Amino acid sequence: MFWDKEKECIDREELKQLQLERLQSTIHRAYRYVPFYRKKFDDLGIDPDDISSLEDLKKLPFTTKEDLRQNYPYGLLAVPLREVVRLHASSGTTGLPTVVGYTRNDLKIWTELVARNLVAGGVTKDDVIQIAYNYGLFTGAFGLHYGAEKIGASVVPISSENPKKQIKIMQDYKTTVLACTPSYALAIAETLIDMVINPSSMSLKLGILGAEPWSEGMRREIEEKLRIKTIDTYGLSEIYGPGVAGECIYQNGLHVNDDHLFIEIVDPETLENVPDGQEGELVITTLTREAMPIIRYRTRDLTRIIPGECECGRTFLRIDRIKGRTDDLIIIKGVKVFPSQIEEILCEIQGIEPHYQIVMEKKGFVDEITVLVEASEELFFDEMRKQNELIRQIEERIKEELDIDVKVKLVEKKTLERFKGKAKRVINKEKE
Amino acid sequence: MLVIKNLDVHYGKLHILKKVSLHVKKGELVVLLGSNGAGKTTLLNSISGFIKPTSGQIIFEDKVINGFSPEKLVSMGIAQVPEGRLIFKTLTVEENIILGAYHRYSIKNAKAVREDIEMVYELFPKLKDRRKQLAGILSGGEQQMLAIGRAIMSKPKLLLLDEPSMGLAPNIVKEIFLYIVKLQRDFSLTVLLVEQNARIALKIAHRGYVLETGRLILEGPAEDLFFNRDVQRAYLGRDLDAEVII
Repeated sequence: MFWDKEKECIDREELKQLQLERLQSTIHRAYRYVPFYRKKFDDLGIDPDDISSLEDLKKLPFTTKEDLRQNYPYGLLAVPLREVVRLHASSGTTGLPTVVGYTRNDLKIWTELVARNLVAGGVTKDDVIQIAYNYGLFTGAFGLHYGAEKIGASVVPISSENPKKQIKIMQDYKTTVLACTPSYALAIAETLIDMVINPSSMSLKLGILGAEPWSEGMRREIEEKLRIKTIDTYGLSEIYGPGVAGECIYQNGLHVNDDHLFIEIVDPETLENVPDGQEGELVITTLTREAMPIIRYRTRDLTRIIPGECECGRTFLRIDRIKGRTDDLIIIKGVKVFPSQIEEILCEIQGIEPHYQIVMEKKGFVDEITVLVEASEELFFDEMRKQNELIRQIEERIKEELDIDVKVKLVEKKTLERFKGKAKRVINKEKE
Repeated sequence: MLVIKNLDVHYGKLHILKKVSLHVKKGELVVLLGSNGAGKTTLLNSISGFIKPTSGQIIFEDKVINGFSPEKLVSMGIAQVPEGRLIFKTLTVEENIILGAYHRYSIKNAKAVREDIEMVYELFPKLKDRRKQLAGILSGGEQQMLAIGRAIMSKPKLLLLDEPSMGLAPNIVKEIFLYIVKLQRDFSLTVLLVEQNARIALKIAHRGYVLETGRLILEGPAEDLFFNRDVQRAYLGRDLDAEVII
């Protein structure tokens, strides 16, 4: 199913021309109206008139989260504040918040982009969609809200109420689609089990999940426990919010809304563009945003472009599911590991729940990593020997697959914190 | 149908168009907005072959057409209705219309041309009534109709219209624009329209571009441009905040 087939299946050559036109316009507007960009270009001796191809974009400097912070709150606006009809902020997952503004047209485009992603994921106007993201400065709830309303679905703006309330509403309103973070979907699934409610007795059939990296293992876990299909969506408040990219029903990569966003993948260390298919940091340039054009934004999210075409017929580029954020990268004795990789392993092991936390500590000069995992009830009250056996098994699997030494600690079920929004997986004891 | 990549045009040392890239799809009605001196007419004249661009590409139906003569371009299907109509005032209305078929006029084609003249009359009945009169005595609106009628005599695929509303009374402007819509719809013409009257142009166009001092700074669906600040301020002649409601 398509929301806007003509655009979503646009001929790639035609798309490239459109991207070039929009890129050139964006650069002219950024240079003309945003002192930050003007100064940056002038300092580097870049003439905006020199950009004559999409490849030329590589000549331009990156924009970082730090740039947004330094220009907090309104420094990057390309329009006077009176043209701005909405302000949002990043959820502040990592450090200080950043502010983003939207004009009326920006909101309209944002809505379109989310609508495309929802329809691609299988949402229709007959669905009842429960939006369990927090309504507030965070973009998640509003983006999905507008998109879902636009396609004509019935929107339940429940916000981040507790799981019991979510389930009650789900039952009463016959919710068919749940939109929230994967970790919260899992928390809801568990509550369902505690309440001894058979998920098949509910109308829920689809989960539109995003706002944090999650693994395929986590997906299987959620799909099994809630008996639904799940669709991964990606977005970041610096670039609209949700609606940047989303999976279609084939669940094989996230389609980027290419006609409004230009993506690149760069090596996070050398900052050179990498060939298609190779993993690196996602960099996004907005092509149509009025209030806040952003050139080459370093998302700090790691992914790759999936070569080839998707069965669904969309011609937009696909990116792989986000492997992790460069901020969450754990480096231990030179080996780089993302929490999602540990998650993937944990999901495969019997006897534990996919709730975990990674604690980093320095013991002397050595980094030590402890993975706290919740054990399933049956097991915990059993004898010590079985526990030790399980711990050894997890440690060995992690060593085998990721080549790092970690200590595993089993904790009782429901002792680790449950997150309504984005889950915090890594705790660095030195920094806190 | 029409794709322009990085078009640069100089008049002597003056850099008029700076890396302009735009496209018009088959059957589309696209408007190019911009204030005086932005380079709109220069862009149209480059497409129709009157001006040679310094660099860049103009691609019409997958063929690069830079440097082609205007006559060649007319026979390929590009017709321009120039700014200020430029009709031949001392010729009759019908003679003006026939001139539009100049490149294909021959005895063999006489019948086809005759039919096309009738088609123009059907579209613009006012011209039929005045066919024998000198074009110079027509009203501004009628002259504009004549200029358009002359252009479509060349059987174009792409029609370039330069400021068709210029100097016309508001009700006549409306009439002319209705004709433009009719041409685009009924004759499946592709239209690139340069216009200062952004309000009416954005109403009939599918998409639009905003040109400022030789650079494109905006592209988008017509209804989005209508609500864009730059367009509002510069071309719709108003600043929403400054508007006083009495």
